[in-house]
Amino acid sequence: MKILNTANFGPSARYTDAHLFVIMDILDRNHRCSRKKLVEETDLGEGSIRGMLKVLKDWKWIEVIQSGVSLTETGKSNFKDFGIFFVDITNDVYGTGGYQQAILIKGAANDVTNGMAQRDLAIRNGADGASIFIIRNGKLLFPESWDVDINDPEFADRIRSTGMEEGDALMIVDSESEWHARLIAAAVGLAMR
Amino acid sequence: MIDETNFHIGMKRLEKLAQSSRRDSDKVSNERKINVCNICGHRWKACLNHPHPRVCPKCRSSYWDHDDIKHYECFRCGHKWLSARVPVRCPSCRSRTWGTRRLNVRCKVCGAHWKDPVWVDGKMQCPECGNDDRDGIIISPSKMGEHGILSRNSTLNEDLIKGMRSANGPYFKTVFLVRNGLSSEHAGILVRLDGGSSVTSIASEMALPVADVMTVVSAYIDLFQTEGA
Repeated sequence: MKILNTANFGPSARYTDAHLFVIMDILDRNHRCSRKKLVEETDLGEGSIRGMLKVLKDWKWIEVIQSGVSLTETGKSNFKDFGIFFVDITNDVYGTGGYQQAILIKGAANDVTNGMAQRDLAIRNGADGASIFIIRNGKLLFPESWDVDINDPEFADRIRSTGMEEGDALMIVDSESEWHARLIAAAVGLAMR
Repeated sequence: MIDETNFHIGMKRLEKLAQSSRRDSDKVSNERKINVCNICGHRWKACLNHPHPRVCPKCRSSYWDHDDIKHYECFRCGHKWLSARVPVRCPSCRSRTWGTRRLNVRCKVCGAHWKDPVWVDGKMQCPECGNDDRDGIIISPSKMGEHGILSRNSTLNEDLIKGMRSANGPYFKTVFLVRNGLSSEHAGILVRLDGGSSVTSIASEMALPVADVMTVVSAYIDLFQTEGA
């Protein structure tokens, strides 16, 4: 799924759909957030943040007042409709270490065969490594056929506790920094929608 | 019947017959070889010695037999030219929007939107405030196609929404909107929106960027809200 229309005229933006998604996620987690805090939490400049906020404000997805920026009810419902959620789960067995960020993609399990395409997608976006898990026919699988429920029940319980359900996919992205891991996870999540 | 008593006379008659049949066959083949110039449309009978000439005898173009040559016309300056591929810019005025019949125009003074052919030497005036300063006007190419709703002053109004809602099913709603001047893409977005779909699900279903969906939705969200959507 694409969020922004990149065919606009003028200089190209320094932010992508993934940046916009992460900004929305930050706004969703915090009730109200200042622009300065958004700059601190991302690797973007003030101008890029302002540009993204202008887009969201034009769509009436955010409300900008003196005390900060917050998602409107429309913005919250649209953000939830993406069906992509960051979840806090890490694993050193399936991942390559470094910083990890997991992302839950609702209803994306059917698009996963052996998981290589999704892993390649993450690598192309700059990840050091990526692991994907799916729930198919009630089984938590590490594609193509590794049953996590049987082979690693403790980790399977942790995954299920994130709210993962039948037909969902969960990807753990490894990267050099926390911010990059989140950004790549968002990019992969949006590409898988 | 041929008299075969004299051999020479018989052979001459045979030669004549052969020559006449050859002439007939040549005549048939000549009739089939008609060359048509793709540039100027000139038609001529092919010469026996040069059935496929290098240039057209009328316009002297060496591209007369190229099938991929097409005529193009710039909507900005009126320049006409021939090209084998779809050109990016008009060779005369260098406009990138040479193929867009009408462009979106917005007045910086009063904020009015309208569509205009925007000829290079033509004058333009805001229909709302009368502003004719070229610097006070923003011109942008149409993003969503030629026949669709492109700006806030589109053809969609409350009557059209009522008419759309009175139609049975999404198919007839779409047909109703398209017949009333909306592009099928816009009609699809609006029908889905009216059916309760969220922006992200519409974008996902129609494989469109969320920004494109929001362009349509935000322009009419107030109208839908007043209608009690």
